[in-house]
Amino acid sequence: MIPIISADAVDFWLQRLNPALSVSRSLARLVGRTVVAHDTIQLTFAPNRAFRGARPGQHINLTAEVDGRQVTRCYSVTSLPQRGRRFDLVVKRLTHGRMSTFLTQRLRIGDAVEVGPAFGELHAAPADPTPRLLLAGGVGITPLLAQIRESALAGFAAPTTLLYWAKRRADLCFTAELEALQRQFPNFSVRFFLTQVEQPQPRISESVLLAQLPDLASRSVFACGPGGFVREAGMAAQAHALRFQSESFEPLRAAAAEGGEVSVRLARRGINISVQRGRTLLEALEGQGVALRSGCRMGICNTCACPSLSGQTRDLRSQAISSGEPASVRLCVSAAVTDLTLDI
Amino acid sequence: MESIRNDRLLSQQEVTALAEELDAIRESVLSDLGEVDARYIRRTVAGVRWLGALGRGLLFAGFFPPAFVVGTILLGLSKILENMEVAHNVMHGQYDWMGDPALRGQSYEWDIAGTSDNWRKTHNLQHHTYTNVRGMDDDLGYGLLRLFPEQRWRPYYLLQPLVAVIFAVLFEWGIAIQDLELGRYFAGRKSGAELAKEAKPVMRKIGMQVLRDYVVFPLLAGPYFLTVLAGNAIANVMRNVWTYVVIFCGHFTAQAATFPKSVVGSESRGDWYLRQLQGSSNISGGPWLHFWTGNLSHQIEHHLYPDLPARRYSEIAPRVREVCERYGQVYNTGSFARQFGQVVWRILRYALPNDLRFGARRRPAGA
Repeated sequence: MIPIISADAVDFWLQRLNPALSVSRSLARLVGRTVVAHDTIQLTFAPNRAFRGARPGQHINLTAEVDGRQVTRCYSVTSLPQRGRRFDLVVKRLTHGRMSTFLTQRLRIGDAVEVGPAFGELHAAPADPTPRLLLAGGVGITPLLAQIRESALAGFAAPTTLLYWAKRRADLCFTAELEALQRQFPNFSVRFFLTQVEQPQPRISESVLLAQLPDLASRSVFACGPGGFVREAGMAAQAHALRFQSESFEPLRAAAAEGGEVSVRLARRGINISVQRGRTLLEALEGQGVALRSGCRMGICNTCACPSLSGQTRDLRSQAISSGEPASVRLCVSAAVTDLTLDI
Repeated sequence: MESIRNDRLLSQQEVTALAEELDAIRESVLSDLGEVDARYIRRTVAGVRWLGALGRGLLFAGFFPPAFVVGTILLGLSKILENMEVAHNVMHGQYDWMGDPALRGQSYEWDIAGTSDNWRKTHNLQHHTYTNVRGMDDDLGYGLLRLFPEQRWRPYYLLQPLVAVIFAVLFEWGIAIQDLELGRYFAGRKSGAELAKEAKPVMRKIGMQVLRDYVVFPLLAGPYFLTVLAGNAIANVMRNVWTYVVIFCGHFTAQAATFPKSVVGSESRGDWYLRQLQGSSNISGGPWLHFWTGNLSHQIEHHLYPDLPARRYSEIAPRVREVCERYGQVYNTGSFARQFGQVVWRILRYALPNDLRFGARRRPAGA
């Protein structure tokens, strides 16, 4: 269907009034910015009507244009839906993080970004009386913070303990709020572990957990942090606790070695296909019986171009390896380097 | 006046080396793409929208003659800019690296009677892959015109000077039905059912364009229905004639070469580059000429690198030209008047048979 006036044209004029207005896309305008820890900033966004909201503990894929390219990263919502449609995200600036640097330093109040639907299941109903243990590694505090705030509104029906690891004191976020909650609610306690200070405290381990929580066996455990932290948390808690749920965030992996096979997921068809690393994706997928649009088969006509959602490819003409950001891939001149998800 | 290209014949080794040099130019641009290119295309899109809105706005006051003239011109410029610098280039995937769904080559829909899907096939695939290959690149005369001596003459071509002018005025409609290949249908090589199926999306797109430019906007003008309708029609013709002229200057100048089907298939990347170079011609001029032709004044660079953002062509043109000179290849460029003059000459000259001596056509071949 080709409308008389395209949605993009309507969006263009709407965005002269407000950069987050759109008839087809879910956009949000930055309305507030607060420093919450060293290199860590809380951003408040006002979304348009297309955004469906987030439950406590959920994450949002945020897409912004950085140096001309759309970059997508996932951030946890720290605010509660009770506050209204506006939501907060907490972003820690990483040294080589393109998106985190952009969001913390270059995005101005009033600018719009694209926001995907919220996702994530790290959540427990506030009324559930099962005692809880929350394990946070660094900025992994963010989805747990939403859960703590939600429990606080209900007066902490379940005894809740938060163990929060960070490198230095300046890296801890929301300490004042957490300590205030601890004073206010006898059912809530928090303990900080700093691992890169003069007298470092222990990293997460089985013995630390058992020493801190004699009643570990009766608790539901929620862990969030970098991949290594969550793996350690799992090894420490899984055998002893009532239940264990976790989520981790991993930086993009570097390109894997040559040779061998990788798995290509065709997202719209819902199938996984394993292909050799050296072959063009077009040949490799066709060889497995996948019917694809294609044209010149030499990288000119753009007929076979399709969006990749994750994973890295190699352009066989220049041997350049893609960054791993979602991008358009010409299947006829590209080979898979890592596992790949294509939007076809 | 058929001027012959005096390109140096290259050894296979030289062809490979040429391809490497041309690839290096491509890589240097690719590695430099970024915010400046993104800002440029966004501003150009904004230019299309503002020119269009101002043009249509002024046409509502079209009972006042200066408003009619300026409104029509602005709307025409908006359409030219959208078709050439935005749509044509975006559909080549020149801005796919940005990842913006509104500028994605595969899904962009343009403001012209033809569908983008047909264009992606006839232009991106057929014309750019098989550039100037006789019998494969339909853009060689669009099945209507005889522009090269290798095309067989028929008496119908005596009308060609008139047909060429009508085709220019109606260019968007020609493009709209190009992929329907009506010739094959009339020759009985395509069934009515096949044609009906292919024509469905084409008719829907045409319907939308007609509805917008010749029904909805004129109706919005109330008593000035006909004024707005006339302004829209003139703006569309302005765009048709300009795109036609630019496209013809890109491949039908005196020194543009055509190729037999036999070249395809055994071509290396270097051979393909050479064919693009020999089949294309530039228009020399200033930044405004480049801008309003969608940088297709750099047809050579465009054919070598159809997927590089077109605003980069003028920057790499001196390097391409230097490579051409070193390899003894003609770099076909000239002023607008010179290149278009040669196109007009081709249209007139090849309306007539190759051999103009009386009775020459009846002689047996080889005599």
